[in-house]
Amino acid sequence: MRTIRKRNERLLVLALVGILALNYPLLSIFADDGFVFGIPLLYFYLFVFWGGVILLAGLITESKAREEIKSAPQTHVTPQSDDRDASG
Amino acid sequence: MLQGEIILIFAFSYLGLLFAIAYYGDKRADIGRSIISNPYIYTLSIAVYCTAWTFYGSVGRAAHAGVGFLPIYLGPTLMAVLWWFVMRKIIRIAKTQRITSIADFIGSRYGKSTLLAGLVTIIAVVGIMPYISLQLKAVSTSYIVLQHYPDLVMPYESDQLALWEDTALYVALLLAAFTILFGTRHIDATERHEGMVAAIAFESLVKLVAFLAVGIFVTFSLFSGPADLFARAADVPKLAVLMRFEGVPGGYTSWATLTFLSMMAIMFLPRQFQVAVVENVNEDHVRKAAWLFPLYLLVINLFVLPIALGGQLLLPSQTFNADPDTYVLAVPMFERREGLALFAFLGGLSAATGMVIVATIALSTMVCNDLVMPVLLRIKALGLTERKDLTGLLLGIRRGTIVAVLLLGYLYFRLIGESFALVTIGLVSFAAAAQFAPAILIGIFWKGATRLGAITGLSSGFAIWAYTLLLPSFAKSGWLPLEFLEQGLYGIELLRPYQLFGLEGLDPITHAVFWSMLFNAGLLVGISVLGRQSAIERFQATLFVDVFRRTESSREAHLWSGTATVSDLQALVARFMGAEQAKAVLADYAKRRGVNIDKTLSADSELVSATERLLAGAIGGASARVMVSSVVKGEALSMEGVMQILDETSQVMDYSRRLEQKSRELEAATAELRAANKRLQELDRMKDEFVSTVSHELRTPLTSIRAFTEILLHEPNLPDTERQQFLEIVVGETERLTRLTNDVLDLAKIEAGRMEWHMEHIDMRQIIEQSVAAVSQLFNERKVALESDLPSKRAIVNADRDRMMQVVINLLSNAAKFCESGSGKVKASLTPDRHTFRVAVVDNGPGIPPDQAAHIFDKFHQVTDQQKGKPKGTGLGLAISRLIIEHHGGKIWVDTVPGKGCAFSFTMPSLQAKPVGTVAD
Repeated sequence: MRTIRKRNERLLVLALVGILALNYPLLSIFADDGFVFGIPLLYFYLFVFWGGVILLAGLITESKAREEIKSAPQTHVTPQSDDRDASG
Repeated sequence: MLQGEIILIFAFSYLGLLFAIAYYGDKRADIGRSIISNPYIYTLSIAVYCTAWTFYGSVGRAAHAGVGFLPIYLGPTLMAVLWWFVMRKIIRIAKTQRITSIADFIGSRYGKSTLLAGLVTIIAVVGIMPYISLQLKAVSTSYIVLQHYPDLVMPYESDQLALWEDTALYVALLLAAFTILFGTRHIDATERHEGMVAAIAFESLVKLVAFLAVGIFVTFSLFSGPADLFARAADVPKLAVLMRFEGVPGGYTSWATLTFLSMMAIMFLPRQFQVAVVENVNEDHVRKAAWLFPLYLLVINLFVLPIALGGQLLLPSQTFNADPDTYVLAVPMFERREGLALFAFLGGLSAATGMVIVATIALSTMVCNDLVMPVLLRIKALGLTERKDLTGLLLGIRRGTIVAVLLLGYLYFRLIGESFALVTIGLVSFAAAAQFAPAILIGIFWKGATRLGAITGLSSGFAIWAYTLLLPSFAKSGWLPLEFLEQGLYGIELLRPYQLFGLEGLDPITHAVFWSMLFNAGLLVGISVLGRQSAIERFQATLFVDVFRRTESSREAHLWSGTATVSDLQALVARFMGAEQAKAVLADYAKRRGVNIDKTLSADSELVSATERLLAGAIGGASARVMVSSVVKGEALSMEGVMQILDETSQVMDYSRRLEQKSRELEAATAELRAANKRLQELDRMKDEFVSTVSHELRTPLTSIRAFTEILLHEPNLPDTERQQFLEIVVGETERLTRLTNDVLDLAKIEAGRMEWHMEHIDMRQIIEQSVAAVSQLFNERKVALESDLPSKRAIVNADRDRMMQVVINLLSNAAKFCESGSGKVKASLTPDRHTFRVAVVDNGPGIPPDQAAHIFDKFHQVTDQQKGKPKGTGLGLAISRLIIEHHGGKIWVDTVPGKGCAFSFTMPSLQAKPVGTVAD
């Protein structure tokens, strides 16, 4: 349960950072002329940041997959056996 | 050359391929081997988000707004980050509540309100109309442009054309026919369309590859890489602006608005809801989709700006009248790449058909289930409630809806579409879809949102949307007077659609979104706070908001809903747990929740659930649900609910039956073990006894032998007669010792099963005669009379001769020992029975006390108290006799009358299991 909450918090922070970084005023820092590797600065920034958000989202959602698979069967089995005890 | 026919052949072959994929997908789903049950297909199906708007429109927008096309894809990325706990929750709710559309979802959340579901349906249909017209426009434009290959000819204004000359109409009708074939071949209870999803996923791949192909062609073939392209564009002042933010119309405000709108659209456009929620196979797929789908968006957008800039450089608008919306097609055509142009056309067709198919199927489900059917079922005159098979009617309504929606889209296109760019049209639909956001997002996280709040919020938001976005588009196209835009309704300045309530300085979209969202969310929250919920609203609200908690703790009571009074519930609890406890439990609940429970009040959903949980502890979960639903007035149990209960009950029964069987087996095993233990203890005790008795029996003769030999040793002058007497005693005792040892050995051998038996056919008469002869000397000495009574016929048994002799001699000598000398009489007899011979030795001695008769055959048992002085035997004779007889399959027992004598008898099975008489001689 704790790891799930932790993941939710991380995702929420990531979304907030994304919203902040992709809007005024942070965006205006990159709104001007300039080229990075021949790519317009604004265009470069948007796509690189975008890719970064995707990467982090992937890391956060996938990283806990193993723990959940481990704990999933337990949570699944316990209520069932409880039920049976109660009625049987 | 690309004639119209060739294009059509390709287009139809492509649609045929889609149909084949869908057919295959449905077939696989029917046999339970879903091809769409993996996160990648799921992600690709969500990519139906990228329509002709993305394929053609983004380039068009980039051509005059630079990076202004991007918020439409950045928003979904940010939203996808939140999917793990927003989308997953919606999916979980939809699955537990059997939700089939976004209208169904909102309606269910607010107390299963038909009115609200109908309202959502209407908003969806009207709101999506511009979006569909966008697709029609894109397909017909791309067809017309491609048809004139190699010339770059832009389509005519369609209102100059007669209706039957308009390609868009045919496109609309074709798409309608295709969608009907596709999505409404049969009615599926779950409203899931696996085949459609498979086809949509395939289309997502095609449009991605097609767009990338054009992008790579432009960037790397027409220019030498992105750096070259951007450098050349930077030389043109008009294009250099596109690389900076100032190129974005509406500036940062518009940027933020578009980001917000697209965040809402990715969740709440009816078609997105359809693929992401209704068609979802496994909620865990959201995990991968949350980053794979943004990745898809990123990849498909990489070349938008390069294509736009390249198009502007290659096809300057001064010399070519090329609409930037058609660059994806026009640039390959200009370069004479007909194959690539055709591929691009198919990519655009994929993008458009994908959207149209999913959107119209979703809308047809909503219109049918949430708008038309509720109305039809309420009209009693139609008698629909009595009709058994409504599938034909349902299919008819759905097919009609598909045609109607596409024709509405066409109408919008015909009336308005020509005067707007693709993106502008699409944004109108986005703003409509965003109206669903407050009702859903607030509804799944806040229990307090009420039906009335949702209805007023939604309808006011929709009204403002229509007034500030839809009507102005009619006005701009000349279908409404322009004064309406400039001076407001009836000339009231505050009601100017683009400056509502005097709010100026915002672009129309931001303006409309601001006002509609303010009213929508504001009224929803405000009225909810002021109003109150009915029981069913509270109930549904709890189910939606606590969906994760409920499914984990107890299988929730979503099977029924309705109202029950507190006293009903109390009576119910009392029936199972007693009146006192029922009262105490309710009081405790009231105290914990801090509410005042009045018996006459109707119980809230929490209390109903609490009662159910309480009963579940007493009578099991399934029965508790049945019992609670019996007092809750409201919806009847659903079929599925009954099935679930039956299933659960039978599982419990099966389980308890197995439990009973197990415990019976266990009891039997325990009893066996206990018996075995007892026998072991008995045997142990017997062994101890045996050892001590044997040693005692051995010591007695040894002691006397030792005593007499010592006398003989120390008294050499003993008289001869005395010496003779002592030696005789020693010999006698020695014989007794030998006998005893032999007996013990015999007994041990027989008991251990190591005795050697020499079985042969013997005549029992002979055995008795010989035994009588052997003991006659003893009888003579003791002056006891012995007679025998033997039958004339032979009595053949299968036995060990010596052992049988041993038994009979033992019985006879016992009898002799106990009879009074002189008056004693012993009789040995042999009687044939049906299958046995019975041998009896009867004496007229003192008999055996009844309490000892049972133990007489035990080892070392001697009837000592009757006997003065030393016992005369070893105490093993009868025990050995019994073992011998039992070994031969016979029985031995004693009948006795104290004071009058006793009769020892044993039986031997006759060799022929026939009446003895027939074997005679």
